[in-house]
Amino acid sequence: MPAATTPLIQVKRLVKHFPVRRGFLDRGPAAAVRAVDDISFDIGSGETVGLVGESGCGKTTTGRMIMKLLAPTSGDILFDGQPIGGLSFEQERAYRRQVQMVFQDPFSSLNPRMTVGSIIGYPMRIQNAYPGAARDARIRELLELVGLSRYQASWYPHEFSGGERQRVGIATALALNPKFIFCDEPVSSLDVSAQAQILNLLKDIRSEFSLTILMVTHNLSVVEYLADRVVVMYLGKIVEVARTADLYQETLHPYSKALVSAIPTPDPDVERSREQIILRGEIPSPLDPPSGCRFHTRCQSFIGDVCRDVEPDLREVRPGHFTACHLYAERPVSASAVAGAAGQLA
Amino acid sequence: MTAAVAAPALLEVEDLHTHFQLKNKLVRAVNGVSFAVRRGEILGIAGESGAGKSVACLSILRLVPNPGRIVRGGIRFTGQDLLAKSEREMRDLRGQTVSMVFEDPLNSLDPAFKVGDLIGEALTLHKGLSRRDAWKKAGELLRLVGIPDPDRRLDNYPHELSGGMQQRVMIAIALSCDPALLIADNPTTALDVTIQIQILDLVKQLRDRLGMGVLWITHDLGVVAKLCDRVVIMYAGEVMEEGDVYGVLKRPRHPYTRRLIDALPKLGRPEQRLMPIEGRPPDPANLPSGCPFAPRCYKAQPACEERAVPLVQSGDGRAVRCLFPED
Repeated sequence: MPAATTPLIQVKRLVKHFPVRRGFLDRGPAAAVRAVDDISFDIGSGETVGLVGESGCGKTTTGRMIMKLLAPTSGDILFDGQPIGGLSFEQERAYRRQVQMVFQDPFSSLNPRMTVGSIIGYPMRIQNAYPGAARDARIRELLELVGLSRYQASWYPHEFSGGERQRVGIATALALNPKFIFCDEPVSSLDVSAQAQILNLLKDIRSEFSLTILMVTHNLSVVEYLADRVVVMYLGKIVEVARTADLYQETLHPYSKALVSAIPTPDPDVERSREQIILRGEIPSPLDPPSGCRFHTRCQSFIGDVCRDVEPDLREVRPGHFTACHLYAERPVSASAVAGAAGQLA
Repeated sequence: MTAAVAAPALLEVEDLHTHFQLKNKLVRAVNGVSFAVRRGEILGIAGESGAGKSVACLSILRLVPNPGRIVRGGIRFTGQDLLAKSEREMRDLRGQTVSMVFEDPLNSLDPAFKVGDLIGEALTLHKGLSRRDAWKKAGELLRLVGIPDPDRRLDNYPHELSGGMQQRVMIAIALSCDPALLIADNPTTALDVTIQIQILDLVKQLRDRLGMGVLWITHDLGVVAKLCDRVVIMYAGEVMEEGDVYGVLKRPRHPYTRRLIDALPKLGRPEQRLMPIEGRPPDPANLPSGCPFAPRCYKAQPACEERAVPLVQSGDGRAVRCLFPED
């Protein structure tokens, strides 16, 4: 990532807590789901970043905050160097033109009572873009761009297959020539062949329009196919950030290692030869995350009290490769801690 | 089926046809499917949505929803003809010797009952245990499927458990009467990958320990590679290819299997462009007379569309339904 230019999106110490309503008689202390808990990362202009992790890790919440669909509890998001909080009405309108979203479920995200032409034209209507005949021309252009026919503008969503609907979703996202697209699990509800078509389409439009993409997914092979860099989250925290190839070849964090080893791949040779890490237990509740390193309750490389007591910082262990894990601490861990870990393993 | 195979077949499905007569059309969901599961074997049934995988498995338990009908074929389980059994006999069989795990655990678990009662139900019903004994056995089953603190969990209601735990409870229910055959319909699709791998590992362990046969339906060839011994690839209600997992995934013979594999992103090879399968699967109410994959196939010849293509067995335990197979 060239350091000279400002990243398109900067996420700085972002926090989102969802307060939990207590029952009428239950007067315990106010609790909060700590969905996103102090995370920072950048997305360079033209870069595709994959945000991965399991349910409840805060990946979608992060994306929705960038889209301004949710307000952060604290922290900042900068777009082109400008904070997106506290924009005026006009500025916010301009911002929403530049950031668009592709949704997970192409069945529920398209209004069944609108033709796909009017669905694709809707953002233009709202933003008063492409007036008059230009709008219809733009709709036809977009349909062809995503591999549909211009004559399908008058069709309704139910006349399309799942993959074709997702193409409509992508055409809608592209309608206003955005700089940035947030894709939330764009292929997880699609069949294998439709999935391949959509991934190829995203790859093509990305280079054609030099788009910046944040892709949230739990599918690490999808991320590997599309992303330049990967951010791995666990329980509201970032545990690893790396260039895609580095993440897969020199995985640092024990959680990322487990994730990579758990990806099902259809190559039996790979399945037989690679290390299989089976994590114990379940993801703890984000209402009451574990102390210290949040992963310590399931970690296969637990090294002792330090994991339980001290929250590890995200550190640059190799150039451009960050991880938050005591295994890679600056100073070697004390001998007693290692001995303690060995004792626990025995 | 020839008698030459080493382990005797636990379940044999032969030339199964399950059709749905709708108001103005006949949907041929399963169209001449044959496969066998041996004792101690995990057989995967893979294919895209609409291939007929789930309907084929529901047919085995005679649970096809209306207006679906098994119109032809044979289903034999340990030698008994399941299609000839009375509804009462089927009820004794279901959940006892053949049990099933469904895709969505929360919708399959009755929210009004505690976990202990849900698991105990089959035991009181089929094994005649008292509620107390069934409750105790339920605790042992929860431990078997790897739920920590099982005795406390018995008192929970399904909504109090995570998705992975719910699926473990489903498996515990399925295992409660020591079934000889476990049928699982996409049971891990709703789960996270680290939980999915726990469940796959558990099923393998249980197979080794209990020697049951497993029929595992999935749309994920990666899961097939991780879990199964043999695999059946289905398309448009027919078996396209069958064989040992290593052979089928490493050297697919049917063009459909090949294209299915090529369409998947491969770990470690992100630069290789994905090859989607062009076109759409055929309408099950209007199937072509020849090979159903022919309209989308890169090897199709006029002969493929003329008449039905037979499933041809080869000596190595593999079978392929194609006039121009690979290799």
